[in-house]
Amino acid sequence: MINFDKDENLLIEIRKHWLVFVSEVFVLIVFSIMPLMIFSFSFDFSRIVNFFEGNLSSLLTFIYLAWLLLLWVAGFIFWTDYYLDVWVITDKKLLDIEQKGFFRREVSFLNLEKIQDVTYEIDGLIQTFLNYGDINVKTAGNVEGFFIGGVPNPALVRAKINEALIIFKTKNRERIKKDIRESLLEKIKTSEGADDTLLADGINLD
Amino acid sequence: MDFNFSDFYVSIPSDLLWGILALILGFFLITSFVLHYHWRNYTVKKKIGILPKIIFWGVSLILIFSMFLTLIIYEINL
Repeated sequence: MINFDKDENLLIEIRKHWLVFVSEVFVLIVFSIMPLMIFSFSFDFSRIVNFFEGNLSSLLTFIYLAWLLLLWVAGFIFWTDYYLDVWVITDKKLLDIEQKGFFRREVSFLNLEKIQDVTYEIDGLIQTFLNYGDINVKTAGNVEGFFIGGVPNPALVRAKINEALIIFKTKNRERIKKDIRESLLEKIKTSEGADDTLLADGINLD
Repeated sequence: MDFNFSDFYVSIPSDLLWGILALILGFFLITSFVLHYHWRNYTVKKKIGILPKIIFWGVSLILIFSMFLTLIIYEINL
């Protein structure tokens, strides 16, 4: 479980487009049908009534069911991999969580203050019709940016990142103002002959 | 020449097939445990709902039950 700061709000969770998962599942479906295809070449379907008479048929059914069970589990492994591969935008940072198989997991994050520019690209016929594309988060200095590939509705994601940036900058500005105000008040309090009325009024930095 | 299943009988010992079934079940249980561990611990905020679990276990149990059944039928016809 990813832990966030107490004052950190999760804005959006992004996963790859469902087409990525469906293309993996398609391979499994082909694999599950393949034995039936091979079987159909050597079997006259008019004799289907006789199929369960010999014990060879039950052996083949057993092998086929075992094959289906393995493919079924593989399908859920793919789904878990797809589901746990996620990008998270909070009002403080961008998180890239990459699940690579069962036992390898990479988590990297980028503070919003490092972000300089966010662009998105929808390239090709399929991406245009299914509305998905890539997002490039560029950063200042030597910090490595983020590339988010195969994201559904990239325009919305870009807008969410921008929204997160605005929230972050507003909060940051308020925090800086508060820090300056407090340090000034502290200085006034400690200096000799501090004016009580000045302390009572506080300091307005706006 | 037409292929007819009722003409063929195989004599693979059923103990061997029960052993294979036990191995498959072992693999299945370990994988399910790892999958559930990931679903419980590695989601970000939205928990994995009950529906994927029902689908996973429902279909898996049907397949395993069918495997048991075919093995019993195999043993009867041996």
